Amino acid sequence: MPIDVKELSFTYAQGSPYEVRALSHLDLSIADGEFVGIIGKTGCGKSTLIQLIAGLMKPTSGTVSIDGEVFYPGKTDRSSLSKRIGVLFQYPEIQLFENTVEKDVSFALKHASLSSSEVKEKVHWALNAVGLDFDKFKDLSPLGLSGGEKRRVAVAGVLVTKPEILILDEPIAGLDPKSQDGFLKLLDNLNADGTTIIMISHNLDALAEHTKRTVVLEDGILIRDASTREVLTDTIFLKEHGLGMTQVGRISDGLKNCNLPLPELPLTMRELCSALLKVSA
Amino acid sequence: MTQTLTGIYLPGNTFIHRLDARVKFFSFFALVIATLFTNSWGGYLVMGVISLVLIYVSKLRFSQAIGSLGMMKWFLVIIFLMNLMFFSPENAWFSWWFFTPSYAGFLQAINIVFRVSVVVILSNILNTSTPPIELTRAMEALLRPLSYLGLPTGQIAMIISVAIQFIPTLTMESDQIRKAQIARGARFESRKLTEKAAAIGPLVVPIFLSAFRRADELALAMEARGYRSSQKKQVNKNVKLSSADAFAIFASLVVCIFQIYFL
Repeated sequence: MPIDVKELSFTYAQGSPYEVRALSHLDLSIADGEFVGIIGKTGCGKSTLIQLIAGLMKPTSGTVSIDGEVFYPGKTDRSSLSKRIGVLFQYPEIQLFENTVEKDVSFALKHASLSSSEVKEKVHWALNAVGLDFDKFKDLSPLGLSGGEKRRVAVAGVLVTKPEILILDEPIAGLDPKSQDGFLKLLDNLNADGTTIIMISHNLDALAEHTKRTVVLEDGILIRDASTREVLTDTIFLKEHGLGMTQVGRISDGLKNCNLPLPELPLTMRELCSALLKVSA
Repeated sequence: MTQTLTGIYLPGNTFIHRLDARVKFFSFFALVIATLFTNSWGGYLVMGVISLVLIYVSKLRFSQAIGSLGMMKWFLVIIFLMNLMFFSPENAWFSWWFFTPSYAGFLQAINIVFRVSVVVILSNILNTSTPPIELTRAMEALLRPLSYLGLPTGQIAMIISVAIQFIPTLTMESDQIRKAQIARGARFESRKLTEKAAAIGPLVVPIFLSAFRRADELALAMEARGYRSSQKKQVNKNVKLSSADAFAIFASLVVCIFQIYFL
């Protein structure tokens, strides 16, 4: 299901004094199986963009088409799409509402006309994927779990339909480092199985390690769309737009300032290590 | 956020915007009382013209002034029909089952719908021309006399202002929860009543939980910063009323008395 965004614009509260232009004339296409990162300062339109891609809002102008078909709320029946596109919002744990973990995770399967054993199997798979033991957690109340566990249950509730496109808004914010690693590994596995992943994050290190392509938004305009390597090693660009740097970038920058420039800028920790080995040899 | 916004503060610098919030509150109540006493064609005309003038002076767009009437259209239709059908069993045009539409009922229906509409428009003008925080301050000032009767007016005002301040936050959060559940296949927009009813749980449970969580957090944060409910609140008494304020009080009182005694 390739995603094709054409001339997309979106304005909040149009026609009132509170009118805010969130996106203007944005073009973007994402092919099957890509792992794309979206970065930009807060308020640059990232969240608006992914909500439009997910078909949760109607564009002010322009189109979003998925699999060659233009859709937006009101025009298309979302129920067929909701099984194919999974959306994980910021702090998704607030969406939990059922009295057991099993029921909450299976919520998205309610209209899928599956037998109860099939539903159980899918819930089992989803909980397993997020690292929760089905038998231990299925009858617990999701509201009584710890923060990290709640997050995982919420993620399982999105993964349970095995979406072909997974859209994530700051999925690792507020997770402890171990859960972050586990979650990113899970995304890698899903991506390896062919799931298209679009992820908003301020964590450039995570993006450097996991995404292949990075899209940069500023004030509702797409200012850069290139490989993650190209964007995240362009320290001048990152500084200019106040986007911060990866840890690896910071180290390489520091080395350069100490007159120890690396021959080519590394993107990941592994690359940095091998570059350092080369220099010291 | 995407729907047309009605009834929220729209910044401006008109005569109405510059009035003291307490004065606006007072005038609002005076005009509401005037509206409730309206019971003649002349009275309707006067109140209608006053509403139009106020809309014009506050530079409110007409669509915004009557926006909430559109949302209430079914309510208005129902109260119109109920008054028309049931108001007067005598002199009915005809009587069928228990419906007895009559001329008196027709007049009463117009009367009620007119009064409700004017009150809604007036409250729209008040809300769109006054920042919420000033509204709550005005409410507190107007409630203050009741503190002599032992009513905790400071706390009431605090409760109201906290409630008002959290509306945007909760609106945004509900919007996110709604979208998250739609993304998971909830059918809020379904035309089937059963599906609509089933969709309430996924929406209401998280919204309540997050409201309670926020309330807890806010209570802790207030306590951490030394809030004591018994503490005397600082009152800014020295806000002088302008001649425009005096005019507004005078004019609204005149309208009120005129409606009660003459129309």
